[in-house]
Amino acid sequence: MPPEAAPRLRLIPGSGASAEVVKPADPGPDDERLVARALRSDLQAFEHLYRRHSGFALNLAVRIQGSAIDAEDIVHDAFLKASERLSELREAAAFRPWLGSIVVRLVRTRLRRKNLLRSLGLASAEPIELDAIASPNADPESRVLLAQVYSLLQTLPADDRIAWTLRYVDHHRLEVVAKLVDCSLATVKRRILRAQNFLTEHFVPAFAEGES
Amino acid sequence: MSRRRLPEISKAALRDYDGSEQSAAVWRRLKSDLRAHKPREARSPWLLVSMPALAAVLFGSGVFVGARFVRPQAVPVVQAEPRAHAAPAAGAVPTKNTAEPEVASPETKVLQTHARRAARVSPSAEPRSFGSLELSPHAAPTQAPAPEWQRLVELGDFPGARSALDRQGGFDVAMSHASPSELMSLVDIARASGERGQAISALRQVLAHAEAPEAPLAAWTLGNLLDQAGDQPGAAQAFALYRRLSPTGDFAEDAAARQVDVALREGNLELVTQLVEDYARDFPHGRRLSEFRRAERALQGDQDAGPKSDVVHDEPDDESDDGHTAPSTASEPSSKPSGEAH
Repeated sequence: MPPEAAPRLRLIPGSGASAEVVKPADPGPDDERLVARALRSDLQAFEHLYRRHSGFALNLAVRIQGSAIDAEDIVHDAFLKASERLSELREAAAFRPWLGSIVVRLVRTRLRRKNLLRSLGLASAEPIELDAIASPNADPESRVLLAQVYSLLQTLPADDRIAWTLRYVDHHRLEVVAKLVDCSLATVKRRILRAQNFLTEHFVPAFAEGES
Repeated sequence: MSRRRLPEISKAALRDYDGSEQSAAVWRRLKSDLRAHKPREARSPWLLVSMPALAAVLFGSGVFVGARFVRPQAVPVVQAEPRAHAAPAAGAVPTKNTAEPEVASPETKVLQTHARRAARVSPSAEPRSFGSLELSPHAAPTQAPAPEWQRLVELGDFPGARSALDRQGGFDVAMSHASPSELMSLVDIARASGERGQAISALRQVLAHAEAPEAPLAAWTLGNLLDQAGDQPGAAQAFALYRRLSPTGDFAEDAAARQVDVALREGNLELVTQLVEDYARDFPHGRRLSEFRRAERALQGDQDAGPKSDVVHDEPDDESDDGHTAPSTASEPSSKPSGEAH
């Protein structure tokens, strides 16, 4: 492990699945049409886009950060930026990855700021909110796995951490990861490999074989 | 505890926020913010083209205005000068001393605002090196550095300037491509080293540039030198030229008086009468007017008393009636007296 202090693991009570009040959006019109309508200041069309992609944006923010702290603000800011710059979107059908790249950029900025403050001794390591990451139905092994992986990820540079999370937690293809982090495929591969090597080296299984 | 390969994280183990309460909460905030925010307009291609074009036009206008209306002569700038080194003039015949090392000036930094710098033309084609500093007019920012002899003149080191001049091709070579201001420096060197003939040659070359600001002073100095060399007609012409170039100059009265003096020494009564009348007209309160009146009467009395055959006027052939012709360039004094003054 690097010399940094090990992140604290905090289990917070999760909000139950029954608390969900916003229903998943109906299939409805495709993104291209919705973007075209939103460009004409159609708020309803933008709401359609939000309902369709807000879950994806929230998932990205929470999974990259390892916590739900500021995740709502990040998603809010991401959609606000998206509405402001909707005219810059070249392929209207590619709204989702474009929105994802905005979310990733915002999360990266936040992570870097936190890392800087932490290196200056002005902030402490953020706790990992396991219930924000793990499903309420996840088995104990998966929860322990997530807890340890996210503890290790917190010690990595923001770029490596984001690339690995997008690839192995959010399960995006490498090309999509490259688009989301706005860099070349080779760079993404390098970052993922660095993070993977580090995690493999430092990961210790909680349950030895035959123990469980 | 043993280390093993990292297990895969399944999607099922992760929480999904699609349609969650957080999502609805964010939308409530976002909805009000969206009403307040206006979508950013896409930049039109016309704007992308017009902005660089406008910048180019503004830059071009600035260059035009600067080139058209800014007077560079008025702004002195600090300019580097090579450290006590100047190459021989182009086409100069190297002397025996050219192989000797240059004598570095004791002054490494020279700040000067001498007016003669204004028209300096460097004889050197050698790339400049950066050494001492001097003030030079902004009009010639790419001028080559001043020759060493000229720097030494400005420091008052005339023997050193003479030596440097000899090392760099000699007086005549330097004079052949010198500006009026440089010629005046050469005159100073020649006079300091007793080379009156060279000084007279340089002064005559200055007078070839009648519009140069150095021309009146050159005419005055030439008159003095020719007078000392015994060339009375030449001196008279030089003084006359001074009066024409600078009718109200500092030496205008003296030049008129010197014209009378020369005529009196020659015993040319007609010329003396004419010049005394001119002096009285231009300087009615002239310091020497009464003296000249008396000398004129005395000369007239002498000529009336003496035989006609004794009156011999050796007037120069090329002198015009008004005495305003340029000094002769053919006559060169044979003798080289030293220690003369203006």
